Amino acid sequence: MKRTLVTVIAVSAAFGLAACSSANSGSTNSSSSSPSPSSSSSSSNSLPGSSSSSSSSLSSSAPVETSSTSAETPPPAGKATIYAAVTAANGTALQDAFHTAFPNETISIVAAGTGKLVTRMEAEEKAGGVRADAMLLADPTVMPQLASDGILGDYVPSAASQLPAGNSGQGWFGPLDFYNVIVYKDGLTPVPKDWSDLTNPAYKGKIEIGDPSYSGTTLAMAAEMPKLAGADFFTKLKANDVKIVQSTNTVGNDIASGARPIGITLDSVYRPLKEKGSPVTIVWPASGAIPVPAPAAMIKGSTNPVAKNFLDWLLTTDGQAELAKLGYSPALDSSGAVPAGTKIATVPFQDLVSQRATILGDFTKVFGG
Amino acid sequence: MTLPTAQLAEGQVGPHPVSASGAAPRSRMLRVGGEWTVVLVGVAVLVAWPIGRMLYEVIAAPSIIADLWNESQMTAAIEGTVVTSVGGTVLALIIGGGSAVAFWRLRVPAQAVLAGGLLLPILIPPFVSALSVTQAYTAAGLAQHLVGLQMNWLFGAVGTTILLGVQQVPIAFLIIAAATRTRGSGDAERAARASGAPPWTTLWTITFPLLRPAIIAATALCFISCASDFGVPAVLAIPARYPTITTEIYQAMSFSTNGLADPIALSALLIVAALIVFAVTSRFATAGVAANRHTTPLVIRRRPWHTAVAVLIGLYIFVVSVFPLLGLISIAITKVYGESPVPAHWSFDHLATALQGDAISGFLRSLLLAVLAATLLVVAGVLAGRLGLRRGGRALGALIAVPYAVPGSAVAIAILLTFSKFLYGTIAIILVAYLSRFWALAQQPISAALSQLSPDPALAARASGASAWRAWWVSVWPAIRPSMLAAWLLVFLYSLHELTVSSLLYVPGTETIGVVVLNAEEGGDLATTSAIALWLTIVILLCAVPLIVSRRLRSILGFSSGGSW
Repeated sequence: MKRTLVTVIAVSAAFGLAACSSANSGSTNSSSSSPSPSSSSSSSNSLPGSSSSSSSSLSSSAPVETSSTSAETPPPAGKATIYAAVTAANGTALQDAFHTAFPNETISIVAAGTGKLVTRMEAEEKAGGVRADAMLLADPTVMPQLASDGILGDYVPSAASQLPAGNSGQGWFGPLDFYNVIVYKDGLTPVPKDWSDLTNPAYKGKIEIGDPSYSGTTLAMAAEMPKLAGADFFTKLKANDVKIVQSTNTVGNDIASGARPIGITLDSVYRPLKEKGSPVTIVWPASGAIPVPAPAAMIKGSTNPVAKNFLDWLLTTDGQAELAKLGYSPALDSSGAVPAGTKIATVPFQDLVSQRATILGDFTKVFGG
Repeated sequence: MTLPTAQLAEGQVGPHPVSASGAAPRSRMLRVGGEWTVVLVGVAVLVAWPIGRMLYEVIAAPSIIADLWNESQMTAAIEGTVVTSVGGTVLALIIGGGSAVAFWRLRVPAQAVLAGGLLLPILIPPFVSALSVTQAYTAAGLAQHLVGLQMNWLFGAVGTTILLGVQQVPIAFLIIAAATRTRGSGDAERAARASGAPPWTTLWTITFPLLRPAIIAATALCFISCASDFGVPAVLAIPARYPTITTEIYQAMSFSTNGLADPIALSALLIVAALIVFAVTSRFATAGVAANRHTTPLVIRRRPWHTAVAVLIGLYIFVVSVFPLLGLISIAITKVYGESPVPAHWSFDHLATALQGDAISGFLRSLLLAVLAATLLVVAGVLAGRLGLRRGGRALGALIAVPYAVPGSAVAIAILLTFSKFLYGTIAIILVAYLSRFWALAQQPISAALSQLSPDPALAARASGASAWRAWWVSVWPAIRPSMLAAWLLVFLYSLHELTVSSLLYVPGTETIGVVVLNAEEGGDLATTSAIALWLTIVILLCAVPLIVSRRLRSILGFSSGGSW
């Protein structure tokens, strides 16, 4: 029929259009990942809508109206957009603290989970360039992919040299750490001291852990636990009727509610619960808490001085104190967020990425799914 | 006894007049010029271009599809999606469709309130509903606090299926309820009854064929809605190690070895599933009985068991919506999360905190987006629906459903890839994404209503000299008005609490209420999450009060039948 024909033609035209535009963005993509991003950023200058909230993104050649302020001159002033895997409240607190420290400078934080931000950056990169200047994520295992996507810049603050070895990688540094720890609801007996205590039949049906398929922080836990608590740890944990949930936040909440009064979660999940008064207690396991750095990095193509200054600030005493105030464990620790003398396991993060399939495979072998 | 009915059925059941061979000249007579252009441009811009652009990412790297197939979980994930989605769809049709038919054929008391109750599950985001159900019924939940009951079996395939079904009940109910009001089937039914057909025979030979387009539309929509949902499996399936395609997509987004290609390739699976569902169901999409206009309603005598039906529906609403809502309230008003929800621990702090920050501006933004999306899509739905009776139109209907058949994140990726050049950082990009994603929600009820109509009245109007638009206005518009309202409500409610699409598209200053809820939840702050969801429910319920009070509004929606039908 004629109508069918028209439909087919129109639809194929639209698909052709799509292919066209993707070819376009492919070329922009490659030009933006090349060292001199002038062509891609000049095209992005003309974008409507990028003027207000992300005016200085891709500011290697900053938008015309702000070029005088964000040119690379010593007193940096202006705005930067940061993609941060923090809660909206913590994002606002970071914005305010930074603005207090540098009244001429404003950062604008887009808060979302790491997975969402990575997806967003990858899509934006393909569509002509990431609309932010820097990132602060919660999972170092995504960084190699971001690097190969051509999204990671190479700026690292000079203070990063003071960080522990595990807290730097190609193009990123970890201003704070998450620690996999044991948390239990007050009143639970016996009180656990170490990872291996979780295999105690007294906790049968009471334990909850996160799913390593959904985050690198839990992946680190799944990788390290057999080393710290014995190769058969997860088998024993399964025998203890452990429950596996998608997110470590759920673990924290279920511990607090008593649905599952003990579990493995992050110190950053525990602290807000405790602060609000939930009856929970943290245990830094004797054989070692499992650290996972939160990666911060510039976005390739951005030379925004405010964004760089923000990354620098994260490693200052002031910035580290602010991170501690928000319930994180700052990496250059002087805050007491992690008790003195706590044993910390060493996690080889490069291996974590390359061995992800094996780690998940072993985990699935035990728990199924 | 059955003979007259059979004859009647034979006379009425059969190919729809429009699809009969003589249809072409008649339908041409009713066409309004320019529609095709408008609809095709709309489909190209909102659906074909973004989805095509997205799929290009995997077409450009075909090896990724092969890799995915070799993954051990793939078969299990597909099976999980098919099982839970089919189960959920059947459940939604039985409960939602059953209630709609009961409201129509029986004198069920308190219909307006019950109808509102049946819609409760779509007032809050799916993941919050899933959360509220677990908070109400599983370990340490409200039911355990009150009566010592805990149903931990909800974690698993059965629980996932049930909750997916419950989430889609409003879709099935609205579409089928609207169809029952679209046209009076009174004449045919009265004829059947007068000829001595017992009620069940009438139901089977007249009522169901008449509602068939609506039931088919609801089936297709419920299925793709179940298959693309992540909120429910995230809460109920993951703890049972029961994979679905959406949990796989979410994993691929949390950790990507191939950038965007993995989640897109997995989403393509859902697109294929949706197209299969549409191809299969569209064979049955025409009404077996053509209905004309609002005819004289049937007089139905009230019987005691009609009240029992109302009690049954009320009980269902209490179990799946009201009690979980109480669970949500108990979290929102308990001062410290984890303490037992007894009066000594009550506090309104969380309800107050929830209104700080971006909650109110986010709500207003969502309200604006929802009104715009619903209104524009109903118009688009009517335009495209007028074309839907022909084969090309039906293919178009399937295409329109694609963005609703994939997870919101995939739609957001597609929109970012195509529109971020022009619209990044504006609220318009979120609107475009909603128009793309929710078009099917408007299209299905409207197309179903249109395909039930006989073209005769419109032809009569044309023959009497009315312009095409005028003919449409006097003959078609009054008949499909209930379905348009159902479509508007579906898009409005889904846009209002939408969170996955907007969380990938927002920038500071364009947060939707969904983003605010999600940011609270991702921070693990259940009390604030519950409080915001609660406010959302309260505001929408307040908006719904006029509906329940105003007889006129109810009669437009078709829930007021109580005595007169």
